[in-house]
Amino acid sequence: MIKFAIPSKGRLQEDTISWLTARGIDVARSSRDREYSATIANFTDVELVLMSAGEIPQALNEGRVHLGVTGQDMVQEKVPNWSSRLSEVAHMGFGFADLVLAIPASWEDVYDIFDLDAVCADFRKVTGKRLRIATKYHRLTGQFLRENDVTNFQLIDSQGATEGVVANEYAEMISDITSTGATLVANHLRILGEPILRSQATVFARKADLVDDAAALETFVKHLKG
Amino acid sequence: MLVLPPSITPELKAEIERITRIFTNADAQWVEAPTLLSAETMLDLYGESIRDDAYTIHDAIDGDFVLRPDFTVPLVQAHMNGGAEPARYAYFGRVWRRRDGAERKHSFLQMGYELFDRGDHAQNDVEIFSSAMQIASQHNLSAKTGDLGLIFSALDMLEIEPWRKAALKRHVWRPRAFSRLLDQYSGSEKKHSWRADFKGLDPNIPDQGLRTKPMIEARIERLQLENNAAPLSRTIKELLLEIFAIHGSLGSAEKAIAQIASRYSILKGLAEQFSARNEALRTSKIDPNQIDFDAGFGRESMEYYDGFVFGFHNQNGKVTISGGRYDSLTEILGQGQKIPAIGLACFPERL
Repeated sequence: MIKFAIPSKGRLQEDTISWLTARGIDVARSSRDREYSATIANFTDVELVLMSAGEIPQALNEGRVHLGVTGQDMVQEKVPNWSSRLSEVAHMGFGFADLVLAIPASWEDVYDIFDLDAVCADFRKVTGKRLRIATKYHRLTGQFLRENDVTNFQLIDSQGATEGVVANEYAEMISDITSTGATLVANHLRILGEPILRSQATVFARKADLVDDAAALETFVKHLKG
Repeated sequence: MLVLPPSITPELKAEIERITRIFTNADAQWVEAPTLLSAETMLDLYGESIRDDAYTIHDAIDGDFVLRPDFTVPLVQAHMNGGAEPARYAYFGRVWRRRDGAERKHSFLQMGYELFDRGDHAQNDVEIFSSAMQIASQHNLSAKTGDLGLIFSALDMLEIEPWRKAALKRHVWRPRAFSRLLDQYSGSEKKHSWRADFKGLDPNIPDQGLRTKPMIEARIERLQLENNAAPLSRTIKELLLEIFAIHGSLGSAEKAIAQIASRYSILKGLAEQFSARNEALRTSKIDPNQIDFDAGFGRESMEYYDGFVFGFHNQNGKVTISGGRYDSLTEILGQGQKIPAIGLACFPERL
């Protein structure tokens, strides 16, 4: 049996079901409203599992499910070295979000990532502290800054309403997901440079050599790819 | 004496005992280091990247700790906290590094030897390096050396504006950033033009976070001065690149540096330092012509080495013995005090 995890609620679930329907996959939600599973009428060896989108990367990584719909940002953040165990089956064309660095609008001296490194060094020298960047994307942000030779920063954990932490003086800048950038502007923040990651909803699969029923997985994946 | 894990093979046990004798014969004092290190100290030294390498452990009251990823930092801390001088320390124990899917173990054995001594630099470099050679002598390992002191000393000796010197020094361990900075300073890359007509910060935009408007304005003023400064001379740029490009053997590097010093007498001291070490090597029966040298070696490793560095790799390309001089680390951890220091670490399971 192939287990296919899709988001358990909201817009992401609706879009996922329409996307599957458009590919001739009949998703039948269980008659009992509370039950978090569903079936696919025309692929009897594939079982749908409804799961919070944020938990799908870990479930894929551990092999509790073989396929899953979630954001690229979630997988790359939560699964270390993800591409050795997972592959992208299809980009779904919704759930777009960019992970960006955002700085206070008052930082008129900062235009690129090299400026940011210089500013961090300067901040450390003046205050004795590392410059604080609030985010829930620790892995992606840390990797990006390291690849760009930025040092002297500190990642501060912020699991929600990250745009507000700079005004509240918990951090000097943020690294967060944005789709239009409007919330950032409303909080006197400005996007610095190119996004760290452009993400969208994506079907991920475990690599075939990690799955018992590789043939069934392959047939279904082929169908999804069209 | 050393307590060895029960699962150890007779070969590994013999090897550990052989290395132990090398350190003991050098009169090193055996010391222990805590397993849990303060995350704050490690983060201040290495930045957030330490979280990728080391396991962090959280205590609800005392905050974050890291599981010892290396012995050098706790040893330097202990020494700077009132160790006698000069000091030779030896250690043996386990270190832990994150795997995150990489092909390596979660933990491995590390042995090492650190020397804190205000005496003859060249002599101390050679004492540590010949211990490494002794460890390597029983195995098929390829040695490589470098000298970060060349570039730090050259930057000190050359006539360069202090602000350029400071920025270049900060980037020695980040080769890409260093060459970009060098290009920018020598005028082959332009900085933003907007700064020339800057009229002051927009008063309607609020101050946010701890980076306040006076700090921003101070940086803009500095940038305007820097933008108007004359470019770094081509001679200096090319000289720095020439020094970085030196490679071959320790013997051929000595000649190359002497040749540079004959053209730029300001760098005479550089050639003298390098020759003194080669001389000390010859006295210890190590032929500098047989030792690989690359001036860029060590620039991308841990950013605390600032002088002579070396690494021995096994056939799988894994670092088996490595070490180097880290004078400035003692200053950072010494709260105002400092002492020249050099050390080596080896991983007996990879021998």
